[in-house]
Amino acid sequence: MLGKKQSKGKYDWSKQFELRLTFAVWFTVLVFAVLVLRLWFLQIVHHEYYAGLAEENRLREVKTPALRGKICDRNGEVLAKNRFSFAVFVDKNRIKDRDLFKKLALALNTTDGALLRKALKASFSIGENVLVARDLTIDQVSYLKERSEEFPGITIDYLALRYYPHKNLASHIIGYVGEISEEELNSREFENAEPGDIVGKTGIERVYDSFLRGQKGSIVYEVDALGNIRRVVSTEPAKSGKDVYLTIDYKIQQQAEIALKKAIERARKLGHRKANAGAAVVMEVNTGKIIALASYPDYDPNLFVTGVDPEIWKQLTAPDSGYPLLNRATKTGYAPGSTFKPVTLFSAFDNRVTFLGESFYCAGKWYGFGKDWPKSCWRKSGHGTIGLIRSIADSCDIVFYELGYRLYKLKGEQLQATARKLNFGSKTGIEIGEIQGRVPDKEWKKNYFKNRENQIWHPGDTVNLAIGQGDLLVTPIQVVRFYAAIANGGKFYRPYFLEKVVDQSGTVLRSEKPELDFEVNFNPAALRIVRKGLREAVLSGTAKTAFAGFPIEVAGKTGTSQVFGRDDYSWFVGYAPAENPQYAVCVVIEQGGHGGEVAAPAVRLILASLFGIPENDLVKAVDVSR
Amino acid sequence: MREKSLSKVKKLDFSLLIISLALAVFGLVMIASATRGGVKELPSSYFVNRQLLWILIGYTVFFLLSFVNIRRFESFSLLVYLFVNLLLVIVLIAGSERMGAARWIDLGPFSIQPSEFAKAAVLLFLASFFSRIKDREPNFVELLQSLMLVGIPAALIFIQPDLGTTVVLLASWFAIVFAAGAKSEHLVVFILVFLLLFAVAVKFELLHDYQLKRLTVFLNPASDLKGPGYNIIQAKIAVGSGGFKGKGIFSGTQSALRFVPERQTDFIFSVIGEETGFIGSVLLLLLYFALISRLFIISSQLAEKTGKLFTFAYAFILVFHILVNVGMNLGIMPVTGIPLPFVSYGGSFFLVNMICLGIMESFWVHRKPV
Repeated sequence: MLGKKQSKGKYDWSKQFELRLTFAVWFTVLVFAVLVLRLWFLQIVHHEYYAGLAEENRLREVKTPALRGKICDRNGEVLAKNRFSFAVFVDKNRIKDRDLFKKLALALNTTDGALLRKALKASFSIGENVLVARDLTIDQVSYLKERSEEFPGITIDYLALRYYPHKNLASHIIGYVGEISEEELNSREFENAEPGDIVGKTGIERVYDSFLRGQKGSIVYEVDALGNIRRVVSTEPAKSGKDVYLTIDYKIQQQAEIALKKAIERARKLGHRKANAGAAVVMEVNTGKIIALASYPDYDPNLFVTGVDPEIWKQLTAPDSGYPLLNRATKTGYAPGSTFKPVTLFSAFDNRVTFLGESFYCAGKWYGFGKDWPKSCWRKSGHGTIGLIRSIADSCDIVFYELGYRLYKLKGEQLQATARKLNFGSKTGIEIGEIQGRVPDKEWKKNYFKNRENQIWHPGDTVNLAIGQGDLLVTPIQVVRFYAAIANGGKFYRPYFLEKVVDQSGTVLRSEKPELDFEVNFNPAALRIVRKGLREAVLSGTAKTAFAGFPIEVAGKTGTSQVFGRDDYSWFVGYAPAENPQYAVCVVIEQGGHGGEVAAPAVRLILASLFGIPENDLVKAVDVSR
Repeated sequence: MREKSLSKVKKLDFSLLIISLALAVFGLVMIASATRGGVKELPSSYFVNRQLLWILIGYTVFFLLSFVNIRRFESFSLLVYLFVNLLLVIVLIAGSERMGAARWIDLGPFSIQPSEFAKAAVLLFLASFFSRIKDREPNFVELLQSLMLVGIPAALIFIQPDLGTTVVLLASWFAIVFAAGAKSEHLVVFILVFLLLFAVAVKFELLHDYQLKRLTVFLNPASDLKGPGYNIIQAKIAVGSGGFKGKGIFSGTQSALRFVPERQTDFIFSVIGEETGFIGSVLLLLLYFALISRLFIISSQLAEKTGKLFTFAYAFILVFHILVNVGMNLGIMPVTGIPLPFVSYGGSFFLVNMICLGIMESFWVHRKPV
């Protein structure tokens, strides 16, 4: 027992220590192994990842905005450019700071409500900062800069803003710019765009945005942990956008806009009190170039540059505003009235329901549907014996009722086929937005109306169509293109605005050529009759007084279309010079009354400026035809 | 006398000297790199010059201690222990505060960090304490007594607050009692009690919020991008971006552009990782491993228990520092204020390490011939 205790109880610390030392050594080996493994993991396995993070840490890319290209007319007159302006931005997180807004309003001589409205709309921003006011005076800028401590979260920037020097001029063509929306960002249209970019929203600004926008530059800085810039690592200068030259002539455009306004005034004076809107188009007959395209009422695109004020937006879109944002030349479908009659005539010849030299008798009434269903000519007393040429020149309805009815009886909807062949019911291909209009037929009626009775196509429908009434809808651009084709012998050019694209060094990058969309073979006899009829309309027919004494030979057609519940719409469309046509011009005045009285003098005024004839006002025409 | 000195020089363990010097020089270069461009208002030269001065002081002290027979002064260990505790009390009363903790005593141009000296004093005192226990294991009462002896300076340091050094002191105690032969079951009991105490401290919020956060944030650094989590992320990026070869000394971006905070002290390893890459980092670890291995050998070969215990515990403390500091830089350890021995900027800590090495050299030089 004792021996056992001695042999076992003899405590040897050194031995115990060696044991624990061994343990400590293995522990140490383990620790170092873990650390080396971890190093291997970070520095070898995931090196790329961390190297990327380190680069991200140290490099900051700041985009520099590119100047947007100019928009000019065919002669280089600037229609859209850039101007520089001091603007105030507020940090988004400070929007709730009422005191700040009050102080700012005082400094900028405005109301805090106005600033706040702008801020909340956030329609124009740079990073986290939203624009609240622009166009500060130098005094205001220095006031704010000197008191920067009193205005936390405020930044002042010197910005290039879009500027439309001619304000309302050609507003429907040019369109306007604005900050890119979420939808636009996701669309294919703006491929390289980033949030906050200013892009074209409508019109030419939008269609040719890719030329105009330019390419943002960038400066890559090396920054430290506090964001202090240490040095510039690389710079890529911004590339200004390309300048876009349009086919339009700003002087003609101006005249067209004035002509519309004056025509509306005239219409009102003549008792058509509801006259308030209209459209005018001037197209080169042999190219499809648009020289002028006006729509009234119009708007000032400068209002949209940094986001439109909600109040103004409300005004621009109110039901009683006349919808100034609407481009009536391409986006409104009108009944063409008598301006459609040449279509009927072409159809009648194509389908051999009339012949060269046929003569008709107009007693003011047409009884094609029987004694109980008479239809009237606009001239109550009738035109008497009348040939095809005079039927155009004097716009005799009886002749076209008859032709329409003959076409109806063929049972093949030939009139509609002719209209479609002449591009009615489809888009013209113009760059800015347009609608296709409508050529009504049996099929359309069946689908369009719910009521069974209304679904039936009556002979009267074709007869109405023959004089450009009924459910037919055309756009002024379609009409002017058709008349250009009459003038040039059947060539339908794609109407267009883009003359050329020029870069900052003056190199022409793209030069647009006229594009022949399609060509129709007019019946030669019909074409002769139509041309003669159009010329006679101006010389001795429905537009006689409107063009009296005009030195240029004009051919054209008046139209006075009826719209249910409204005053008549006044039309004139024609081309000049009659023998060697260069321009086709169309004017429509909504609820303006007679074509010869209102629209025709407006076309004359536009033609006067096209041919350099000094005329400054509408002539007093007294044509009361259709 | 001259001959005696010469024989002492011959008996010196040069490996300790060479490895520590290699580490110190490596550290000095990395401090120069980490502080290039200045830190706050201080220029890089401030840090380099000071560290250089501390290195010189450190080696002077190292040689002085090496040639003094420390055994003769073993009884002074109590005095040193008491003195350090006094300093710790002074620092609490009159210490200068930096970054929310009062750890320094200002001495004119220099300031010292008593908590660092406490590491050496406690080690020596405990080694001496346990060396008196002969031919048996230390009993539970003695373990408790020794813990009390560590507990006093540890508590004083804890309330500075300096959680890192507190933990180091407790680890020192654990290393000593482990080496002194404490029974396994006793060790287990103490570990459990520590854990319990820690749980209580957390429960009753004896730890500052930031301390707790620092301890756990490495598990999910992204949860705290404005505090220690940011440090961890940036340190990892620095190390990882260094790759195999590193970006070159004085060419790191994470350090030069100040993405890594505390880069000349606690996070100097991130600069090493970034600028010297895997090669440099492993080389550094190998140096440490060589030093520690040598210390373990010395502790095995020394005859007297005090020297053995002291050396063992010191080697363990080095392992502890490296694990926690490097681990912190690599994102696998909590963020505690534990610097990298011989390398991190900081005079007191460097000096303490040289004192410890000096004490061991003294044991080694004055060892009885076998």
